[in-house]
Amino acid sequence: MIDRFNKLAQFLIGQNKKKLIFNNNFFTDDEKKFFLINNSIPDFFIEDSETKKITDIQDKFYNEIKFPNYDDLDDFSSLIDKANKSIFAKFLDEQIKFGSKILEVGCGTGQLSNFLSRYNRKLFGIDLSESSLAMAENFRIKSDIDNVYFMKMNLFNLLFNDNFFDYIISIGCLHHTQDPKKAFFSIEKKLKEGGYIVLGLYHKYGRIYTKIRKMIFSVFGEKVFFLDKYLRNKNISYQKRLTWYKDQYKSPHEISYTIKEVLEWFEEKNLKITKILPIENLDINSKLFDDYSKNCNNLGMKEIMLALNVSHASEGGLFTIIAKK
Amino acid sequence: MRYFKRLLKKIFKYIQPVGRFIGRFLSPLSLLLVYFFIVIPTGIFLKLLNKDALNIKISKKKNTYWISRKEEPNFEEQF
Amino acid sequence: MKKDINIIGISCYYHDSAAALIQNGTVLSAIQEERLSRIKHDSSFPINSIKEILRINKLNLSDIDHIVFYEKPFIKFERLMDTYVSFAPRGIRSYLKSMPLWISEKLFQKKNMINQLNSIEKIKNIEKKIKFSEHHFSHAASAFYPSPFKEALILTIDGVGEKVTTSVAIGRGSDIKITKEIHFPHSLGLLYSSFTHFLGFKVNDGEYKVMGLAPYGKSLYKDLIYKKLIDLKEDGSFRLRMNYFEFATDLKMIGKKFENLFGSNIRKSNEKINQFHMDIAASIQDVLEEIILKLIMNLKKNYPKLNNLCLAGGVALNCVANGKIHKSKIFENVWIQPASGDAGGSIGAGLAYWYKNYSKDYEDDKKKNYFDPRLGTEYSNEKIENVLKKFNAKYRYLKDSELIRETAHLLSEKKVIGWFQDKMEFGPRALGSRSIIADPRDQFMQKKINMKIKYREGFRPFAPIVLEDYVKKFFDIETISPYMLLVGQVKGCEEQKGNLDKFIGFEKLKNIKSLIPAVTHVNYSARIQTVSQSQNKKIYSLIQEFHKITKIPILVNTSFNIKDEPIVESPENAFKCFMGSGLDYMVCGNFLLKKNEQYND
Repeated sequence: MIDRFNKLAQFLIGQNKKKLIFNNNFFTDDEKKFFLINNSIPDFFIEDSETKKITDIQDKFYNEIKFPNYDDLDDFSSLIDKANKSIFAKFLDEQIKFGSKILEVGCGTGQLSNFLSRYNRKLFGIDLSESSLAMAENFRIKSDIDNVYFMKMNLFNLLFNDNFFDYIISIGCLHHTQDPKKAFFSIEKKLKEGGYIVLGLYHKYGRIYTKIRKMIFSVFGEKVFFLDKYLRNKNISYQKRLTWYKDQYKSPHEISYTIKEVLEWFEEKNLKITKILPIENLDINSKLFDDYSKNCNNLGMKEIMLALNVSHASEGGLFTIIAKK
Repeated sequence: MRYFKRLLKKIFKYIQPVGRFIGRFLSPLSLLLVYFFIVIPTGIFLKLLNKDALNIKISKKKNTYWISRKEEPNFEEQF
Repeated sequence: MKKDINIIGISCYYHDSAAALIQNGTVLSAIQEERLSRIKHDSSFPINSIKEILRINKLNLSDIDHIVFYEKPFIKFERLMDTYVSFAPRGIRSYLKSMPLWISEKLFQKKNMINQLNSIEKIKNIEKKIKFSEHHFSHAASAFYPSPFKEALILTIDGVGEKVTTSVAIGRGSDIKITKEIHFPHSLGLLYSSFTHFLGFKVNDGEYKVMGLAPYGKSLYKDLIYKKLIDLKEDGSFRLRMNYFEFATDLKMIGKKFENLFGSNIRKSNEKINQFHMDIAASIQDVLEEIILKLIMNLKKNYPKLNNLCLAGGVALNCVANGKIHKSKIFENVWIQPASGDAGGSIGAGLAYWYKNYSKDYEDDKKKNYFDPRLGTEYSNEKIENVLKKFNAKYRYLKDSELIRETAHLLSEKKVIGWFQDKMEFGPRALGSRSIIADPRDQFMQKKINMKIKYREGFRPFAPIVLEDYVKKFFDIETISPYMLLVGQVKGCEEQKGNLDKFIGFEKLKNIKSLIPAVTHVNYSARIQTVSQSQNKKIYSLIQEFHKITKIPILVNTSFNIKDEPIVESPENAFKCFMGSGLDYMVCGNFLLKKNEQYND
């Protein structure tokens, strides 16, 4: 464990721009900051006064629910099985370069980070929820993965050098923050020139269904759970469905966007879009990172069509933009 | 001429889904007709004649289920 | 000089498509399409394989005299229609699903093939070059012609070809005569696959898992299977009691009635495997072995003068059954085609056509003693290095002798190594060209390779590759087994045999007591591969070196791939698999790569 944390310290940098040092049971930036380790999860959380209010709420909320949870996935093999069922995870794994450094913002229980850990990549999974991180760490240890690091960190105060990561992945996280745009700029700074960002957010129209269901659920409760595709699926354990229910319908704070709005952020930072999902479909030959997307213009109609796509909406109305710096 | 082509293409583009839509119902329908009017009656007919085309039945009397074969395979035909 | 006769044999459109090149009656190349397309069990027209075997042999499509397809599509269609008529109205769902496919594609297979071939090179009158063999004739040819025998009885058993599921033929010189058959729906392959499905594995893929699971269980359901599922005659011929099976009428193998018979539902793929599943596996394996032995015993009675037996067809890949056939000594010599599945039909189809039409060129004494299954592409060190450079890999070049010495040392230090050499093997087994190799002495090696390296079920057994000269010292088999198709007992464990009875299920695995626990199965058997210097020089000298260090002339040998992926074919596949698996090292040609050193700056 000590070796591991020593190694981790080399990748980290304090707010004073000095390298962190690991000192037997805490990390320090050699001046006044100390970061402790709780249940083998290092806690690098530093408050950000502007966004503190929501951060505190989310910290509390997600500490109680562990999302997405491992459930019956008990080894790496079943993780591969699961990932192969969602083409997106499979494609990420196949197309992210070997040996690259990856930051996952809002890693939750760490399934994606653990899954992407092959090919000598280095992964850094950050989240607020200590209980989720503990689960991530537990799976990591059980599967003998040593190139993934899970830690608690505030995405508004990242302790990494600028221009550090080859890939930054954040799916379904930023829309739960107080200021998603600020969050985006905060993580984007850490991306290398030529690196890629994978950003998944709730879609303004796609989310409407969920919002309607949310209203119905708040009146009728569990009796009408069959309205949600996920909640009526008896093959998924009750515990897991409950987690989904809480994440989707009970979250204390969420903001949704149109793709067009979010593309403006990318433009502001001069990022080149390579893929917009699910506006563009994935097939065997799809390249997530290599071609530039031709779908950045005239989005209006496409976005409305997307909202009409029931299967997309039933997945929670998430869209993903991939871009190159 | 070019405009004409483009027009045709446009029309085709809109007709195609319609055609596919019809096709989606028509082909199973015709297959079903074949099934009900040919496959099932033939099956019943064979049963009446007590014919067992696939040799499904278990037989106590037979002492072997081997089917002996004389003819040599040919390579020219698909049958 | 006489003109060469080039024939391409093709198998495809069902599962495991492949292409083979036969020149003047000798198999020069054969490749399974999945290895090139990287789609496991790829069944599409083997266009990549054909292009590759033409490239390797520096031929154009126009140099090919005949293109032989391994089966007859129309007979298959006839069987399908017979089935629908016989079972009507039970098969309506399957009818509606498969008929459109037949009408739009399969009935016009010849045209499709011509189109595909035209995309390689346009040739006039190519349709005249296309021929059609019979499914089981192709199997029989693939089992007899490459065998060392001038005369043999040939038994082919599989799921189903066109109509035939089991066939007996006599091979003499250049001639094969089919004498008798058993037809669909009565099939040992489909019977076994029904149980594969019942146990929650994929049909045509999970049969190995059933076989691997069998030793954990007891054959408690044997009598029930004989009583309810199959009618077996004294001479070993059989019929299935079709009311228990759904494969003829539905898209699945079995249904409610089968489940009720055993009082359990079909296992879900993520459901835990328990003792019941192990007992079921043991029972069907037991039944299969008994029926095959009975068949063979009676064939020997019918043809007492024949001493040689050739086997092919998917069921011949059941190496546990093969081991019993050998051991029974009913036939003095047994030869099994290493590519016994449908992919091997490509070899058989090509050979069958050549011997049928050019047998005047056949010379008895030219018959080879050893059929080398390494029939794929070979990659030079130069090519390998280019690929490694492209990936920015860290590697070291070592001379042959150094390479062998260093690799053997790493193995003795329990490192698990990807081993990529020579031409790729044809057939489902890796035999030392595209292999993962490891130290068999380690108690935890079996679990480690399964779970941490190949990411698959922990119970799957591994095979030993042993120097031919030492096989009798470690295993109780009397013959060589260069294709990993025979199972024999591990010697020196006789008194241990009962010791695992007290452990339940997979607990047995942890308590194996053997010199080579990583390749010893829970019934103290092993799926043996023997190797001689002439068969595979490189792996032979590697094991020799390992022997010097450890006194054990044996390595673990398993295919170079991870779960659900085809075995690697090219250096590129190998490097990707090396990086994406838990392998410690890779040896690719004369290059040694260490996992920890890759991309570690």
